[in-house]
Amino acid sequence: MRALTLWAACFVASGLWAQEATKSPVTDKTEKTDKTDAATESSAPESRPLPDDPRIRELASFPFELVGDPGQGTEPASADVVGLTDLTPDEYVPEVFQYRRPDRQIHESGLSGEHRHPALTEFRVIDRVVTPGSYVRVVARVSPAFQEGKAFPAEFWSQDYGRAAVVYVNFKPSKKDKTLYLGRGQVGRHHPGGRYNVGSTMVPDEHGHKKAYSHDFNPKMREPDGTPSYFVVTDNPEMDLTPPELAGIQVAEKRVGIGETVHVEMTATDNLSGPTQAQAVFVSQEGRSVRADLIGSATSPGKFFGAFSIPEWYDGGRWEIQKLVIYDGAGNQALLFAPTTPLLKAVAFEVEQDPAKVDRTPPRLLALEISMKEAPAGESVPIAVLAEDDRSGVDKVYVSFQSPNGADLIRVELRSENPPLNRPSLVPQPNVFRGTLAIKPWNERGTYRVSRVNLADRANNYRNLNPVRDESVAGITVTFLADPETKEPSARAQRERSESRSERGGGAPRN
Amino acid sequence: MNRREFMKAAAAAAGASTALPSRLTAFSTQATLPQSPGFKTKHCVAIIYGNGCRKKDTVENPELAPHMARMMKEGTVFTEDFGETANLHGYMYTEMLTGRETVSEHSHYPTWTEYVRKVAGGPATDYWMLQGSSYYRSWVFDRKHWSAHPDYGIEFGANSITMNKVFFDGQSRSPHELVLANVEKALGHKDRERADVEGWMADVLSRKVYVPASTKTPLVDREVPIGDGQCFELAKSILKEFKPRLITIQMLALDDAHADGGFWDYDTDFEQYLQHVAATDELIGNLWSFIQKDPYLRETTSLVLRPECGRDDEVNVFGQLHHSQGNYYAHHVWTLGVGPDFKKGALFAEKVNRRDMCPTLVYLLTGVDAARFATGSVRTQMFKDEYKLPPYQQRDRLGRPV
Repeated sequence: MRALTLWAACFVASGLWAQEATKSPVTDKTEKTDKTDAATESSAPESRPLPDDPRIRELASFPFELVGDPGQGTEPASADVVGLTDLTPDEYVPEVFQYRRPDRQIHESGLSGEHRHPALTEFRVIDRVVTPGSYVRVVARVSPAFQEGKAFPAEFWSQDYGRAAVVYVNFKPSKKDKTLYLGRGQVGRHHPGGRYNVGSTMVPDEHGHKKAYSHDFNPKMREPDGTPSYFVVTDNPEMDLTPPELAGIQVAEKRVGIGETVHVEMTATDNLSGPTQAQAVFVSQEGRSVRADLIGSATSPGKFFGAFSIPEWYDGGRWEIQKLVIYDGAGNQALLFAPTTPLLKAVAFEVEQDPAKVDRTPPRLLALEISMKEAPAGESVPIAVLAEDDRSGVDKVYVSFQSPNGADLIRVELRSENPPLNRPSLVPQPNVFRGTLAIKPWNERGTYRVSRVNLADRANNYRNLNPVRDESVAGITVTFLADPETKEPSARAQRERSESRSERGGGAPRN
Repeated sequence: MNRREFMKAAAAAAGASTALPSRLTAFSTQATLPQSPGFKTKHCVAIIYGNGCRKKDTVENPELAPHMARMMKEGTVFTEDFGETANLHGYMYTEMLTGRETVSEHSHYPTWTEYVRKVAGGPATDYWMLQGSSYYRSWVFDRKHWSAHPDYGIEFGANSITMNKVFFDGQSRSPHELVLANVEKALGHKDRERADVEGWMADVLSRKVYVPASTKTPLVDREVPIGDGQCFELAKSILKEFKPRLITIQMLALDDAHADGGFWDYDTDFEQYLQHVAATDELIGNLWSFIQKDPYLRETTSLVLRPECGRDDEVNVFGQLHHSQGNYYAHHVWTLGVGPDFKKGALFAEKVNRRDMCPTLVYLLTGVDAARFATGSVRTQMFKDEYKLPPYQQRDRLGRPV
């Protein structure tokens, strides 16, 4: 599931939280609340009922009664079926073990550290009816409370148009009640009217754990009638679900050398909101690819220009366009691929490259050093790697460690940096990379093993060493001992302590 | 307003309790599709390369997937099979099973199993769905074989068997207990049929039929890849024992390519994905050979396979190969259909769609264009010319002809 990546991207792109609510006939009634800094609220706003308007009722209707419920069917794979909060450590199975057969699942009671995922205990739409261009607010509650609650998005899909029309609602924790999350999402000016149903969400915590929820399996995300939580967008005569169209694209140069600029010109049209952004990807015969952002001309709407070059160590020969993406102002996307788009089939250029300069070989690992075999849980363990690359040079080095039972993965990025000594002998050592491994209080204690070494050169050749295949990285371990003074309590004890604090203080830190 | 009042109001607004949504709706598919065209297919194995597989690692790579190459010569292949969504499994497999774009992970609209069973009927043991393991996160239930639609639902579902809940060494539960826990009563078995399923499970467990055959490239020795292998082994057993109308298999271990992103396991990576492609290619090839060696099944059984999505164009520095929106190989996959009603050695490079799979399978098994909520089309071009079917009609995500 890469859904989180998509959500995260949308969250960053939207930046909605700080924006002012747009006035509208419906939301004007809520102006005072909308302008409140929701992040400082300590209690959840009340949900607004559906107005007694026949047209709104029509838009809000679900097409049929859903049958079945999460309890119907076969035995679930684990007891944590809907993010329950009352499971004992002997019942709770962290997500990473849920797919295993029942007798091989590792329960919380068998793990040191803390591995319980956040539970979504409330999910409620506040603004039942919104107009295009305005905001919808949603309340969520997450248990237990965290010191640093993480923002998360939830997606609402148009009932009538599916994934063609989505509204992302971005949640942030309240500063006063850390179990309370207030979400806000903007309905686009060109979004179609109708009912928008929640799809799913993924709630992360400060420990890096995350838990996905959907209305199908979590009753908290459903209405009392069993249908998904929803809001209604009023009829929108300016709705736009039509993606832009490609009118033409050409590459100015037929032949270029490595590093020389390739110029691209593209023309697009759109029915309503206008084309706004575009990106092309070109691929070589060997399969290497280069992305080129195409920048729109403010003076010639619909015209886009790109200028890029083929990097130093890449292969020459024929480079062809593989795909073109064009967006319009309403967020519609034309995703065009050369094999099925006639206008793209002849878009290509030749690259002159000395074959001897092409770097196709990834770096080699020469040595991996871990200075300590054992360390107290709070200590950092130095790691060093010696790697070499015959042409472009070593660029990136990562060493990953897996915890004793596989509940945690810690990836360390190593860097090639010289200590700040003023000595003639201190020449750069581009083949030596150093970093440190440290575990967090919520990670498992015990023996961590090297689970992966990843190397990259400057030509983007990658080497992926995995101990299940590569003996050079097999059997390398380091053991983290529990600090005798702050001996890690069981996960259950930690949680009970946290919950006790939470009851007293309304959301105290968990660790 | 309570639930009953709400549904009453909703039904009144929509015109009928089972009315279609107003826009994301099914236009009628090829209106001239003949009913009962006389297909020879009586049984079908539908394989979902679940969690995503690239065509460049299969139909475009005969060295890695030689059995796929062999079957391609015997059947029909689509090489530009498009899916609008490439990143959300719950939505993608649901879309494939239902033939319409979806925004729920337990389908609201009927699956191909439900359509076929509603039209063709037959005992509950005519319909099966096999998977290696349950998903995790919110997908701990194995409920892909039936929808929440009031006109369909579990009574038209399949016997859904999850390998690592049932078939493993040291299984301590009795076949009776296993059937009770894993096969829904609401499927509508007669007592004799449930007893038959119990008997079959007892036989599989006692003779260890669930152990996948050795392959030239071995299965990765973890539960999910082994589970995928078991599905192909058990499909043979089910075909032999029950002669079912439809077996759906959803592979899952292809998501090993996510590598140490934690799905499925931190040990996995792109190379293990390739290993799994090679191993399962042989197991699928073996399954097809098994069908071809049986004089009855050879004349009456089709095999259709398609990935739920592809995977990215590029492997990243961590040895991870995800499936992301915008990647050509994530959106464009292949379909293979092989069997008595499909053209042999046919290769279509025209754009087709993931949403076609449901109406195509339903038509193949019922002779009726019965997938009434689907927004894809029956892929008429893959059927032999003797059936004289009308041209394929590509449709957009809203079901409109394009």
